[in-house]
Amino acid sequence: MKKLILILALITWLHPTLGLAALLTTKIDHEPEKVGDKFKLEVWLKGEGSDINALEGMLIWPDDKLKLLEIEEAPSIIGLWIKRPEVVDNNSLKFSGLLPGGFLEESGQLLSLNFEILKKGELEVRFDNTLALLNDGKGTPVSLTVDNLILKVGSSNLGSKKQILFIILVIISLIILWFFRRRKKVSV
Amino acid sequence: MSQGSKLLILGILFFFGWLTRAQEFTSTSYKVLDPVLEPGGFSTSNDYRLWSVLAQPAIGTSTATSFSAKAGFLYFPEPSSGSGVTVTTGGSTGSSSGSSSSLLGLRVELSGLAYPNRPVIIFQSGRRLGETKADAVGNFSFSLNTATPGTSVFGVYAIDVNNIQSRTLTFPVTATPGVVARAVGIFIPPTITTDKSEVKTGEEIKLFGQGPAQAMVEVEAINGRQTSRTQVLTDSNGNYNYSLSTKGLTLGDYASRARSIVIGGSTSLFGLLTDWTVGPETILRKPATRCPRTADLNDDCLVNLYDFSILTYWLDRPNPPLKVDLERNQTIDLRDFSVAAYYWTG
Repeated sequence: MKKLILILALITWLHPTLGLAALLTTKIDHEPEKVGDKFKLEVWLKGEGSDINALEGMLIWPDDKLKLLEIEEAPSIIGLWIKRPEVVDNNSLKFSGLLPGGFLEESGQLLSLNFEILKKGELEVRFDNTLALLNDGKGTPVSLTVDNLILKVGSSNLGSKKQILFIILVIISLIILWFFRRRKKVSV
Repeated sequence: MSQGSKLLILGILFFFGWLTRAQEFTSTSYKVLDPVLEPGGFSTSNDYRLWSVLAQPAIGTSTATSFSAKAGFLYFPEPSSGSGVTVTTGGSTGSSSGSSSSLLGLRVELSGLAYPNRPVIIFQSGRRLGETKADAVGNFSFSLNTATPGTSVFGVYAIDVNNIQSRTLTFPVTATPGVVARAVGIFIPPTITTDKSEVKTGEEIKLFGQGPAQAMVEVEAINGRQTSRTQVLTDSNGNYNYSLSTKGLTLGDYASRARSIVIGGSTSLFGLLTDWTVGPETILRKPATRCPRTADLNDDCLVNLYDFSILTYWLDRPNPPLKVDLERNQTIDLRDFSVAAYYWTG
């Protein structure tokens, strides 16, 4: 058991440092609630200090649940599109762009997509085949993580990140309270 | 405490460690999110030197006749970007002559510090907008009356007296009809090169470059995880040089970079790296030319849209010419574009 605690302590200590990488993520203007709702999905690059100058990837969505209405290429931190964002097979979008001189900012928007909900249920818009390269003259790949979007439409919507976070915080608070009360009882 | 309780606490810490945050600070125009207690270095001017470390929570000012230190993260006057450039909007372009917003002018003003009497080049979304010349100290400014509305990424770089291109600073600017967008504090990092690409062990190697006039330049020599630093002053033309003895240095590859520190405490980002080697013989470095080393595919001494167009033509096509295949992997892919973006001149 002591060994297990030691290993867990070591992982706990190292854990916060594991997240240092560029991130491809999404933002939505509002959470769609029912079939027919429209929403805007923005694709963002969070550089986390990496000086990135080239980027490519793919976004994939379930075409039975989502319909792409429009692609907006601006505003964008991409200076030049190598391959303009284009739809492939009605359920994915390929993009590839250049950031001449690199990009040092914390985050920037790449493009945005307007969708319409076709069917209720859980759906995922995910990244695939992503690649980001450092502005170092050598085309060095950057460690790139992706944050896919998961939506629940038409059911009790517990999918919201804020709601999940709130529930987690409540559970943690209860555990801490329980722990201290138990400790007090033991000491009495 | 029972082992079960310990395990429970460790489990909570493991899964929810990311919730730990330092206190965040906000005001109507300023936000400090996830502050990290990272101490800074020291600051110097002609008659003042600060040797101690002031971490961000420290609040207060230290002053001398020609120096003031504003410590603590509540003292930053403007939100600044990763490139250190502050972008603000305000004031009228003065060209409004009608009620329709389409008649309102678009104006972007850029200013900062580069190298004395040397050219500064500005581009927007990869396209060259123009060139200006810095004054005798290195200050420059550039105004643009017709910019594309909306948010776009601007890039600024300088060319030093040795024809070496500086690191490009990029930052987003939002141009709005009728409103002046100002990007200030564009502090171009100093250039650096060496007189030798390989230096015989025990001999001296000269590291030199250009920054603003009468500024402090911090020069680093990096070998693996070991870094040695020294500070030198630039002359009235912004030039600096430093002779580094290689006695005691291990054989191998080194990289050097530099950053400028000016009176008042502003510090630039580090500039581009230059590589050199400590080896068995001395090899002199060829002087830089105005033309980029690579990625200039149409031989016009620029890396710009024309070269981008050539690369795009060969994208995914078989047997690209050797000159176009910048990464030498028999195909044109994102890596070749990345190399071109690094040498971008606009």
